[in-house]
Amino acid sequence: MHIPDGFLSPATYLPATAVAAGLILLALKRAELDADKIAGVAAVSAFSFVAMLFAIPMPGGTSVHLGGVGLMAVLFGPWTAFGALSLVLLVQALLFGEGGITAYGVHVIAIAFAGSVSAYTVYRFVKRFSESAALFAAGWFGLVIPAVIVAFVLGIQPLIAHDAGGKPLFFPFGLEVTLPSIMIPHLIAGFAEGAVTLMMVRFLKRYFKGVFDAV
Amino acid sequence: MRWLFALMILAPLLFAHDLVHRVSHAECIAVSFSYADQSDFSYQSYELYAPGETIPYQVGRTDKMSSLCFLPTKQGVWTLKAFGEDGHGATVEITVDDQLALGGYDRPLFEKFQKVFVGLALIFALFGGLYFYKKRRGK
Repeated sequence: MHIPDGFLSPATYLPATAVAAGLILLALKRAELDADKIAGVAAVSAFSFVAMLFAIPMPGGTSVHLGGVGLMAVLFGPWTAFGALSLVLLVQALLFGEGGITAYGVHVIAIAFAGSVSAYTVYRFVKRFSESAALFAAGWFGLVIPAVIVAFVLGIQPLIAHDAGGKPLFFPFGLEVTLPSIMIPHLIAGFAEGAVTLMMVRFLKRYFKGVFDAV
Repeated sequence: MRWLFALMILAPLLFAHDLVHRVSHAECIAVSFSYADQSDFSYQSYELYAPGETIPYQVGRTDKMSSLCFLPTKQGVWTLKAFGEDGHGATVEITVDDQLALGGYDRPLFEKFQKVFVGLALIFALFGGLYFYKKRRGK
């Protein structure tokens, strides 16, 4: 799901970086991160980092990986999850080339912000009916919503950045390609993410009660 | 005259067992070994198998710099087995492409997971720093 450098036009990544910077500043004020919670956030951030590294190549030239976004949002709330995931994405982009530096703003908005907020919102809504279904849905939405945004951002590149002859200057494929090629694998992988979220929350709250009992 | 004639006939036989050689510059595939602590793996034996072969294509010992070279003759996955005298060893699969150049190789476990280790260490270090910052501010 990570977008490399050179795929996005400046008209996309400059405003996205500005919006991402604003969201990070907002998160610094709104995230409730006590010292006692930091060990848990660090552990789940580490899980998220590792999960994002193991990308499975998919037909159509894309790849799919788990992200731990729903897990993070359910355990720590959307703002803390957003801040931690932004940090994970920054480490990946700066040091390991997982996702371009110019694409960092889009990743922050799509994966860290939209993923966390959608996962948490769905979790809160579905929790009224079933805790297990809510955890599963949080995982599914935490993976699928970022994929929708990434597919959309990539797919509009030919529309917003092309030469006089209409030839795309950056990512060359339109929405008719990006939406199916990115969405179909992620709609399926969402079930794995949902199952992992459900199992991980149950596991962490049972065996690491001291760390996660305040969550 | 007969003796001279016989000598001329038999003279080429003298060269039949002369080992001739040719020195040229060629691009070979070089493999270097070392133990994880960077200590050398020099003068250790190895066997190299061409794709689908059970008889070694090349056998020998690593050089002083713990390296060896080979000139592949066909495309596919070549298997290199190195044996240390202390019982340690390694099997490396080297992919040769259709141009008989290096196509890829399976990396050592540490190299494969180096990124994971470094990333995890960095994430824990950052959160560790944040923990101490929060603790100090809380006092």
